[in-house]
Amino acid sequence: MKVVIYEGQKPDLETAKVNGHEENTVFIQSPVNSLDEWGETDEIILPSSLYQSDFKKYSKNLSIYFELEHQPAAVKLIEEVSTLHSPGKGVLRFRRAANNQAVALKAPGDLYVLAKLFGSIETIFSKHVYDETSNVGHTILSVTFTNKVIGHLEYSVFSVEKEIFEIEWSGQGMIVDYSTSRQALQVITSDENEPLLDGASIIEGSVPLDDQLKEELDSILEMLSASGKEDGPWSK
Amino acid sequence: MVKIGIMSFAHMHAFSYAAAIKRLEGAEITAVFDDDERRGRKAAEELGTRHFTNIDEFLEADMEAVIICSENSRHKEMVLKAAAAKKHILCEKPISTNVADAEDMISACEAEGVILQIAFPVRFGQAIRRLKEMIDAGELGEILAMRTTNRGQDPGGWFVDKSLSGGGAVLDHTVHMVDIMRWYLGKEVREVHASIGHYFLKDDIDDAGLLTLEFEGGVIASHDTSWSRFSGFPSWGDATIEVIGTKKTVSVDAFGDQLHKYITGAANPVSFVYAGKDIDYHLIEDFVTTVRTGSKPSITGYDGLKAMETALAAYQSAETGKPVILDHQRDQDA
Repeated sequence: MKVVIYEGQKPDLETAKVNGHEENTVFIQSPVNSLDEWGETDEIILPSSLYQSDFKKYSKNLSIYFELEHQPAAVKLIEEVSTLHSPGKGVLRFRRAANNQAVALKAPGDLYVLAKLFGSIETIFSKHVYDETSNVGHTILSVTFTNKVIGHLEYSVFSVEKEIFEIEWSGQGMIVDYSTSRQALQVITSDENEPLLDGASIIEGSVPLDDQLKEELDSILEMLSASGKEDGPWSK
Repeated sequence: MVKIGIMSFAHMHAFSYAAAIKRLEGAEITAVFDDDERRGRKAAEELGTRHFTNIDEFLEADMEAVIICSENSRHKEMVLKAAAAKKHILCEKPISTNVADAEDMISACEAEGVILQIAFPVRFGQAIRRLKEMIDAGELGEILAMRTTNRGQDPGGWFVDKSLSGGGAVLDHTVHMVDIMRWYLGKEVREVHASIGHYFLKDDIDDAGLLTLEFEGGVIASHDTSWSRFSGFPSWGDATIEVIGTKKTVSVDAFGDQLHKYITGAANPVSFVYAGKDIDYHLIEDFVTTVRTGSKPSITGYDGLKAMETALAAYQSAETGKPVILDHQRDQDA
């Protein structure tokens, strides 16, 4: 049995059904108090945002998925940047916003995916503010990648029902961008959340949490922790 | 009638400022100075006014005010001359290419009792001003963070010659949005971190920068500045700000309100057509009113200095890889 944990963006279950996964897969929304009912042979598939805080309490058979690799528009943008033009030299702007602080916990996974496209992370400089009373905050990551790419990744917390996702690449001869304001399905009369992630893609494309992946994610987390004078959401 | 002379048409804004004066009641262009003989003569002919190639003779002409649109490196020379001739001044941004020159310019204008206003037209965008009203009325609550962009096309010419411009896209565009952020907050930038690159142009000058700022009081901000919008891009570019407050988050694009126009067979078949008000016109209207009433300019030389100082700190940060702390106590002590 595959157990897919998700938070924030709800995977599109329809694609999972279409690809024949419904028989042996369950989707569970985080937070998950206990996974005791699942056996040692079951595969637990976690979003990268849960890696830091919770991964130890899950079973040995763990896989990780990175939302950027399962969000159709992000996947397409990465494909455009990597295949049509040299992914080196340019400016990346990236933004997520949601109504809880957990949105910034997606940063390590976002950086992991973006580093595969733009080269290793060279430097991270961060700024973070959060007002507990209003539950409003903002995190700025200024990142340089080895392929001569500079980037701002920003994570906002404020009152919004639907997670906002924006990405823009400005490179030589090509500018490409995407915003959830242009998402295919928009509920006009409310701001409710709609599926953005491809469920089948998550099941088929998650990555076993082996020593190498742990090392890479820990390295990113260490860089984030050392990146600013304020404690960020990822700070231990 | 406020009589105005235009000093240099090196900066393209001179043409829209001249057009604004022509539209304004109670103002007229009485002379043009440009030591680029051909450029100045052509401009003067189009405007139906006199052209001077000698700055001293120009400043003897009948006018109360001048608008300086020269290369950045010549702002100081022209401001000092105009101030000595008792002319009120609207100076194109950035105020200068270094802090010492800006301080000299401000001091000279104060000593001569003339107005020194800096041309930050973004302040006159309708949505930009509405957001200022919302902030001042407390509608956004406490401001925690801001996100800004100012991306445009390659201006070419002297802009990409550092000896004349003082810097590339980072200097050219940072000053606009830092000015807006200072205006909204009423606070100064305390810390500047920047990554700066050369990605888009053939010329050897910075054409992109990402700035991470912290203001006095702890407000943080990001700024994306570049000349990344290539020829054929559907619009000139943007000037955006998002203000994140404890009660509301509001975003503005000063060049928003765009029509998306599609023309079959055109060289650029897709274009975004700005449908908002002419911010250059309202800048000039404001300056003329200031000259007429003798009031304090809405955008002072000091505003110009502080915006430029942030851009210069960005270069320093990119060079060292470390954040730069700005010392505003120095200003208070001066």
